[in-house]
Amino acid sequence: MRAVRRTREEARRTATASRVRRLAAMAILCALVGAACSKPPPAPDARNLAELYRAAKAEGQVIWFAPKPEAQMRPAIQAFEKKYPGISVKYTNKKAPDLVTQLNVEQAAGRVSFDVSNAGGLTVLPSLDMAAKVDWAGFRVPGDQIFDGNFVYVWAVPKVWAYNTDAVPASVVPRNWNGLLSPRWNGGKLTVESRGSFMTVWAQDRALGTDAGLDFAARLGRLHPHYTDNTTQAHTNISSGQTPIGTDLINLVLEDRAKGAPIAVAPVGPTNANKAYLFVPEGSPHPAAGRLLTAFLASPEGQAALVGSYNSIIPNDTDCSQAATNRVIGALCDAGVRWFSETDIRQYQQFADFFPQVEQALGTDVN
Amino acid sequence: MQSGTRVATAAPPSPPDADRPHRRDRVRTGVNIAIGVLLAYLVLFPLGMLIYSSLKDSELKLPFQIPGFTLGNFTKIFSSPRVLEVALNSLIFVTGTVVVALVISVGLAYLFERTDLPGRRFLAPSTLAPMAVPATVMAVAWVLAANPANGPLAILIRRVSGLSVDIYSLPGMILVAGIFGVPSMYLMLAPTFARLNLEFEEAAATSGAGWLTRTRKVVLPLTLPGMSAAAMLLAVIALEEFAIPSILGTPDQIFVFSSLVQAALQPPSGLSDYGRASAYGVLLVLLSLVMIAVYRRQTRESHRFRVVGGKGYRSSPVRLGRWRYPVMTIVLLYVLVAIVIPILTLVWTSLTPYLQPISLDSLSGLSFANYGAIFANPSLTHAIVNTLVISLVTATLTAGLGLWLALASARGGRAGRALFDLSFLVFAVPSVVLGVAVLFLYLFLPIPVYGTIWIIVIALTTRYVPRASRMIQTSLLQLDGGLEEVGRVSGARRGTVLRRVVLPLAAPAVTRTWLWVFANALGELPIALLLSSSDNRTVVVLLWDMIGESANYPEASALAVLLLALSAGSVWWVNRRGFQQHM
Amino acid sequence: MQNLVAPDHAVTISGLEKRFTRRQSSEVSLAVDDVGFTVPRGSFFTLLGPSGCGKTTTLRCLAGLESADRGEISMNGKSVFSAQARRDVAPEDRPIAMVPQSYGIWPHMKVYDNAAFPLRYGRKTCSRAEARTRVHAMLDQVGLAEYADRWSTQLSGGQQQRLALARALLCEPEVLLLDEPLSNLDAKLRAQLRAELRSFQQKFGVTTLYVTHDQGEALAMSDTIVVMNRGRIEQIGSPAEIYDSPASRFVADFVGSANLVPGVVDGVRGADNVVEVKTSVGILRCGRSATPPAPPTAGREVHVCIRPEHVRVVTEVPAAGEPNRFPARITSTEYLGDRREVVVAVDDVSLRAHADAHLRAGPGDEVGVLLDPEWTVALWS
Repeated sequence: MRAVRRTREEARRTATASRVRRLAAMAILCALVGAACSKPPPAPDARNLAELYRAAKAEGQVIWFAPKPEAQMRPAIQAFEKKYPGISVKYTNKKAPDLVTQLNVEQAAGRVSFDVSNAGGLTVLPSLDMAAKVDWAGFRVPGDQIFDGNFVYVWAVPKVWAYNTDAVPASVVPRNWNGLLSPRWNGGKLTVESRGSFMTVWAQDRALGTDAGLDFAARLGRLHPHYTDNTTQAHTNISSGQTPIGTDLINLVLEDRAKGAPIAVAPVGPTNANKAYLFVPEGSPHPAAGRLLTAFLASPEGQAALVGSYNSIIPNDTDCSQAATNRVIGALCDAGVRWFSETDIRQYQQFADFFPQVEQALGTDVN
Repeated sequence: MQSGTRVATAAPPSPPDADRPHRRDRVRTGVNIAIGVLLAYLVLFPLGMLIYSSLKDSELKLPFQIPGFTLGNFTKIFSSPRVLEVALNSLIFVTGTVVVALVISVGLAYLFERTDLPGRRFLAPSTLAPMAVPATVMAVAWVLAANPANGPLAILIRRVSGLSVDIYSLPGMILVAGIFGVPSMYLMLAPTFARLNLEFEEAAATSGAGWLTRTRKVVLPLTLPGMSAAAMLLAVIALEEFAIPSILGTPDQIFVFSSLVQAALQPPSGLSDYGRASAYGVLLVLLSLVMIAVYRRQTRESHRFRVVGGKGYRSSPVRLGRWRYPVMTIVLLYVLVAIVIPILTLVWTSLTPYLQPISLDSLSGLSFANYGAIFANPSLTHAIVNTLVISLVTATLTAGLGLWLALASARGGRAGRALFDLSFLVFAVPSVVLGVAVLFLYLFLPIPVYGTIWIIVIALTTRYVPRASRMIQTSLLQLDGGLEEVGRVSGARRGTVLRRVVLPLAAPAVTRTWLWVFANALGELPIALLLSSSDNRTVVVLLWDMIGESANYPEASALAVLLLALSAGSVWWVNRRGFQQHM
Repeated sequence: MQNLVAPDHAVTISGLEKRFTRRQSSEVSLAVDDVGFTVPRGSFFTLLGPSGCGKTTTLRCLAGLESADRGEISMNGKSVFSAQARRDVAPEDRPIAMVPQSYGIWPHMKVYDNAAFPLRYGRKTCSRAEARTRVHAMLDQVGLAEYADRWSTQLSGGQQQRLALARALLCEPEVLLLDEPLSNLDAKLRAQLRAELRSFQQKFGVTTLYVTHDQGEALAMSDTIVVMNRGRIEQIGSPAEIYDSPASRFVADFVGSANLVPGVVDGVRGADNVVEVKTSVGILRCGRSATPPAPPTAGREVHVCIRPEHVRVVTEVPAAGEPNRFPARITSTEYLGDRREVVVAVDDVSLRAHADAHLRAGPGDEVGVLLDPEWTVALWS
């Protein structure tokens, strides 16, 4: 707890210090090049959605960067443009680390080029200081979707274990984490994302615990899994039948399943349902439109447009009441997988500390 | 800029007897200075940025947000417990890749350019086809085709020879990366072989030396500059290339240099550690300095490589005789394994609903749905136009600057050579670091390119100029200085000589370089991705959109097939324009 | 196979044919068309002709660098090429050495290494020490001893040529092939090296095949000349035979300069086969002629060839009826110091003549010309 606060305070202090330097540097640069170093537009003073829409309409467009395929976001974008005519959405799929770096550099230069940014998992902590302060409640964002003040929770990405139904008979599918350690999966049968993020839940669920997690990781490492650099690659190995079982993301499983791929969620739980947040960057070019889009995506209408591509919010922990309407929840509940989501900013620091230890336990640490 | 001035004065000197230099000479001097300054700017900025960042402990921040300098990044690198393992793996991987690519491309260049191998006119361009497919997509195609579990190629080899091949191994990585490097290398080597005066080989043959001896003692030594330049380029590419080690090396935890760079860019802290990544970049730069020194030593007496004489030389090919058909079988086998199978896998994937290896059982599931999906994408037309503009402009700009730089290195005195060598240093800057440097620069400079396709053009040009100038320089090295002297003696002005003698002779190399840059710019991913915004998206960015977070390889493959068609089309077009004939 | 070769012949070629297909038009042309000859051992044998006549292709077929489509080649009684038997011995296995047109001096080697190449990697290799002695001796012979440690690109054209020759001679070839080795040099150097080349050849006694388009070189150096035109052999003979008794208009015109007068056979007289030709000038008696393809009959079209040096210009107008003697008028004269080149017109036919340097006649003067019957040649083709 204290560690996190210290990190954040330190970050804020250095941020202030660097802002002073940044301003000085900017002044020199502006003087040098004599350019019109235009100031970003001020934060809108709108206090409710109607005022916000008016301001947003004057801005005319909103630029949104997130690490999701455009096709998945298209229904939500169309719904937004239909509800708020006069504001066009320009969407760009950006890799998460690129996104946070670009925003960082753009803010340093005082030229932010987008209005809605995304943070999730590892990019949450670095994004904290980049978000503009917004009273989301004023824009009708439900309180349980507002995170750390300025972030808005819009979708979750539950991590799961998935198996290839052609390669693994139902009788031998692992029923729990320990089932994964069966010698049956020895020698490249398990495809495992090597950065350790699939282990998140061990740092979350008190019943599991990080020590037990590291022990588990060490035992898993002894099975010589087929490692991949990220979960997407692990997913392709499972769905193409290269490896029978491995780490996956539920939306990838559901997408490929819908296309007829022989892949299913394994009943290995509990797991972490990673939350993704939207925020409006400080200094964005269309601050009102950015707020409006974010608020819309968090609203039930926005969620209804997102849920079709398996991107939606889910309850913070296991709750199967919406299993019939939300296919992500449905799949988790059908497989009997319990989940936990992040509820506190401190957890992200715990994860950041835990992952390198997992990597070491697995033997996949590069540095 | 001093270097620019010196290049210029060395390149077109004013006639000594004339009191007032001609207006045209003054203009030319001005143009030379401008190009020199532009190149120095393109090259020095990212280099400076690299060195600056490497001295900053920027684990959670941007390099310029941190006061003071430190060697911490370097000490961390060298105190890593894996440093020896990674160094050894990298050495094996890079050496192996270069050897595989060199052996294959020297073989192909020799066979296609100097022998009467049947079908060479058709086979030669086809080896270049895979150039525009991004490495990530190609690596996945390889995995699908040759993975030990259900890859048809691996299964076939196991059935035929009983050997089980594992693509997830150092040899597997070397083989795939080597094959991946062949098109670029072939493109560099082919002119070297094509222009080698046949008389040198004939003189050895009539002196009684057999094929092996004369190839070893005459042909290969004379093509040495071309081969070492190509090897140098590939060595750096192999060190920097990430997709293949990531996809083929990670499963068995085979880490190489680029794994370290990638780990620095995606650390657990979430924010890319550019300080550490830059420190790796600086190590690459140091390594390339060593290579430059070796290369300079090898080609110091450049007269030794002037193998394109002033006389009309006939290119009557070396007769393969009874080896004709056995050799052709081997070449066809190579084309099958290295080109047809991955491309076929790519096409297959583009027709499937979800990623799966080629098999007869899934034939019924094939459809053009993915093509329908990509063509229905409203961004596609815009992306294709962007891609074409970026690739065409980058290729033209890069070939032009590369030619200028190569000329400056050959005839521009010390300053020209310095600029030329300097440019090679940028070559070693990892592409993401280069992208961030460009991103940073144009955010601050009042040049309105940020967020447009031009920033991508600038970044890609910076990235490809070093390679392009190497490619052209090797071919200039082959030209006999006498050719130019004759032109001068016959009274032509320097500019005229350049236009009438040097340029036509360098034209094939420039054309090939253009083609190479064009194809590579089509498929370049990291920079295009980093600098992308809603208005400057290219086809690869759309492609990544499909695989980045959703693993939609079938649709991505459909786009890759589109890129492949674009690059095959350009190879065909350049070929039709007859660049092979007049070499 | 059918080696009916007399052992004193170093090279025998018969029925050689080489086709070339143009890529654009896919039109087939014959670069070498039914070429056959034998080269006596130790002789200096020249293939002479204009560019594109097939001489270089013939030489390259001999070297094995080019495969003929038809014919046989044997060297020292051993067949090295036979289209029928599908035999084509590789260049490195033929007992030859070659000096290519631009010498093929390897730029990446020093002078010594260039010369030593055949002894290191050639047909007959020898020990390092022996190679050393022999290479140095040879470089000494060709005057390059002090250049041994230089890069070969630092040599002048003449030195490169000598180096190429040294390298070729170190191959100890049975047959030395020279492809226009003097064509790259300036006139003065060319004359000097021509003499050197001939003296080397005589000193080493190696059978030499020399390709050139320079008739002066051919006449000065050769034992035997083959004149080629459009892929075919026009004439084979000693330099004197070629010059004095050309077999065709092409040879007469290509080798030296010749006055060619068209006419028809009037008759053949006497045992010495003097041919009388009716021309627009009058009856010309030709004391020389090649063996005709068919017995000449009156009325057959022929050409009469007479070299300028055999046309005598005299100031007194000749009496009518004297053979080969005609009245003429001087069109132009040119004083060359040792002689005067005169162009005279006999009726409508103009003839070039080498007259006495101090001939007292100028343009427009009436003179007499005498075409020496002994040196007047009837050409059947």
